[in-house]
Amino acid sequence: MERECKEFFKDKLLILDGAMGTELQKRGLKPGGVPELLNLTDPELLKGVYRDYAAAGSQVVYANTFGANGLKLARTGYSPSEVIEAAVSVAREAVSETGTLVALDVGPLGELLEPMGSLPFEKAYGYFREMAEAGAAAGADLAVVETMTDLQEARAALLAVKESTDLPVFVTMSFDETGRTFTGCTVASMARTLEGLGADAVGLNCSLGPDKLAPLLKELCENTRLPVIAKPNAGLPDPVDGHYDMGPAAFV
Amino acid sequence: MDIGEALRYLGAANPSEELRRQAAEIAGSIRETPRYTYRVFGVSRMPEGVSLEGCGVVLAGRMAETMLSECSQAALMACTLGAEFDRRLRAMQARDMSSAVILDACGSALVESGCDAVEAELAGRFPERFLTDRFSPGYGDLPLDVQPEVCAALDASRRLGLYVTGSLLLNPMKSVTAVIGLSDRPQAARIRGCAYCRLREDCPYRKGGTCCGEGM
Repeated sequence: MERECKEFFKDKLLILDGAMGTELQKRGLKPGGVPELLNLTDPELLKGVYRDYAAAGSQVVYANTFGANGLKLARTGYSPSEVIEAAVSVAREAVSETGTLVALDVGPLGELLEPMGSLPFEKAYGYFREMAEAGAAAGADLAVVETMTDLQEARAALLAVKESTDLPVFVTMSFDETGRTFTGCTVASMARTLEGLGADAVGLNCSLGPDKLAPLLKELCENTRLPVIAKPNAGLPDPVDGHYDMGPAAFV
Repeated sequence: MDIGEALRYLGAANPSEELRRQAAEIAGSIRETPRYTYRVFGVSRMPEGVSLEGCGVVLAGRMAETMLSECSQAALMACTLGAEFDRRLRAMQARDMSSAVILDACGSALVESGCDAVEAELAGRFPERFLTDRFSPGYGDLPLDVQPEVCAALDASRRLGLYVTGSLLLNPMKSVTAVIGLSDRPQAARIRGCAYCRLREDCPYRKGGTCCGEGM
């Protein structure tokens, strides 16, 4: 696996995909629904998104598994492995002819870990492990842990993927203008902790637009030898019509 | 932040100068500012309650029905001081309990001021419309169990770091979610004011010939 991961970065630059939730909302998904169930109910909709990203140059697409964990799916009647299996195969089918890689996408569990919340570290690890094993079994090429705001939770996810699979793991967290996550983690502490635990790439995603992410990326580069990832938000959605205020040009 | 409101949360109907000074000092030490988000939805009426269109949130009970009876739209909002404030409050509780009680009250007043900022922003965004008083899950007969759907519709965990616990409490502690109706006609007060308050019969402020601030 070591070799494969190095291959990802052989051109120095690996182009990831864009937002999934935003694209789905553009295509009619209502806010507040469970978007992971689309893997089972509307795979064609998702394939359209993957194909468009692959055609636009994405070398990795994130399968629609962001919230496919045991906690978030508990009330839906579906298990993480059912949803993840469907998600990875839908993504694979959509991009199989392009050589685009398919990533298992792992987002926050939706509950705060101890001591801020009530979820014990070991339980969080268990939920992430369940996702990681399902992703590996479904044939994902790598795992991306993203949008984390609590370093403990990011650790649990990273360890779970590393210890239960051979997949390369990228980890990104969300920071605000103060250079900290919502729970107070800094870019430097994220970079050093996650590199130490064996992440294959670390980075920043969501929260901020590309303009405000640049100084944080600089700080990140000063604190890690790993490849770094930038996946900014398109600004913030408008409270009335729900549209994001930045167009593609802001990312160029 | 309104120190008077913090003192009211402390239950200090006639605060001493010393208490005022202490509260002002503690309020001044707070570094957090309220973070908030809101979204405006169309409103439709269904047998099970008032539905906010396109997000799956249904507000059950008589209060939502009455409050939104003249509204064609309603905003969902969430506001929080964040996890760092909770951490400081816990530390203060271990070191100096009386200061912690004051800090707690100041945090409540500060998060309410964030909610006021949302109302002001909404009023600015819709200058031709009229807002209802804001009301929250767990208030009156609006069930607390709508909280997870409200937070999901606002994407509150990603946007604000705001979570709902298994027992339907908001985490971080100093957080508020609320509904504000938008109408084409001026809205009668239906929550704020002594006439609508359940505590009016034995209110310590009213006994003293004043009111709490909400009564204005």
